[in-house]
Amino acid sequence: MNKRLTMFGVLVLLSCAALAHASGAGPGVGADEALSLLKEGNARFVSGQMIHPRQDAARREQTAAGQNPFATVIGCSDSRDVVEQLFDQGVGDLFTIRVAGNPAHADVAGTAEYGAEHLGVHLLVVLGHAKCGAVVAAVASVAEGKKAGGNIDFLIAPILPAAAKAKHDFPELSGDALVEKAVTYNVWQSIDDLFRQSPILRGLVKEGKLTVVGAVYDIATGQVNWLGAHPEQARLLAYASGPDH
Amino acid sequence: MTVHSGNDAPVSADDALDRLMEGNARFLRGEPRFSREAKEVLAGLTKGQRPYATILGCSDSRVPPELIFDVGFGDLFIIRVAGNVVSPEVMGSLQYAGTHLKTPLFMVLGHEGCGAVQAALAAKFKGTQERSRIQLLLENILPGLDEVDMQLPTQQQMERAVEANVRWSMRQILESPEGRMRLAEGHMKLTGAVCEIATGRVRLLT
Repeated sequence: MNKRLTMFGVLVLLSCAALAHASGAGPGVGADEALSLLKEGNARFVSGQMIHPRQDAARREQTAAGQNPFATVIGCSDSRDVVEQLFDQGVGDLFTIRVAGNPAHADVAGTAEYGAEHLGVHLLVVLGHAKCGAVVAAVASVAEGKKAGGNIDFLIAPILPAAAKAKHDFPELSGDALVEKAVTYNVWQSIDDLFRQSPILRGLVKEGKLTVVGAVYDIATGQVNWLGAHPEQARLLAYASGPDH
Repeated sequence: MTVHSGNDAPVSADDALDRLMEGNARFLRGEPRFSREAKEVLAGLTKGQRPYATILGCSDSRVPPELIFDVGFGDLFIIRVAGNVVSPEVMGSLQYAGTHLKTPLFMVLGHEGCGAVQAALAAKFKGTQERSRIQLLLENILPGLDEVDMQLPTQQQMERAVEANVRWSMRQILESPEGRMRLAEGHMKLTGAVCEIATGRVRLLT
């Protein structure tokens, strides 16, 4: 009997979840709910039970007048980093910023501000990934003094501090193991860069209207590992820098 | 008609463009195929990626290129920033795609109803000032809007501006030393396109 009741409960929960997905998260989704939606979507992806929501003509018509994404994701340009698929989301769900190495330079910060201020998105995720080519290049640059040349140096520049910190903190590591540490540090570096540049993002977080978390995606399994808020967020929020100051 | 799979063989720029447009047709018909691939595909890609096209698009949630072109993991190298703007860092990603990944096709993909382009038009014609880093984004867009006529009706003005912004990003890529070099080698093709937001149809600019 108890087992049946539990089963019934699970079924009710599942159908509620299905309803929520059918209608789309819509505007005004809070950060906690947004994070749950992403975690559930990634769990569906990893278990091979994707539902590919909101990708049809009806959804396109519904969103034609304006977008109401429920999360902003800053990810990498890598062709394996298909953000909408990893989180099993559809059209109009995720405001997605992608540059090689998921950095947070001025354009990215401006885009993230647009998402938070103009679109009212309450959750911002900085998503790094294992074996990121840009991080590999930055680590090589720090470890071996290799210069890439041309505009690729602009690409690597924001990642260099993370690569140097990984090398400093883990002098015994090299190769993939060092890159793995640098990938996580690079996520923290991007969050640091966002807050350092943006009074808007700092203000929204202080007001409780925006949550910023880090995550790393394992390209072999599809699993997204959540890192939570920056460990030194209070210090970052105390920055006084940025164009409004 | 042959249906192409993602990572079978290196393709020419024209093949790559055909694949994308076939994929967009499947998306429009509601018969997606490759964007439905499960994570098993990832296992085959752990050693590296071999995308056949690089797309500079917008962060707008309604234009995820992988869904619109019905492609799978490993197919497209994607750069997305509001207003598909070009900056040194974006150029860095493009150059990485050109020199390391050697994708034969590059596409700048704008879209109807782009909020960043709309904000840039407001800045241009109404003097609206955005705050903080958003203003810097708009300053990347403004030089491309020189020839957009203030007298046009709003909707037409936006259509022109979206196209002008795609062409402006294309011009900045073409005029970069790397862009000039790659094009001179004859391996790379750069194309511009606009996604119609209500239908999902991608229209190539000529």
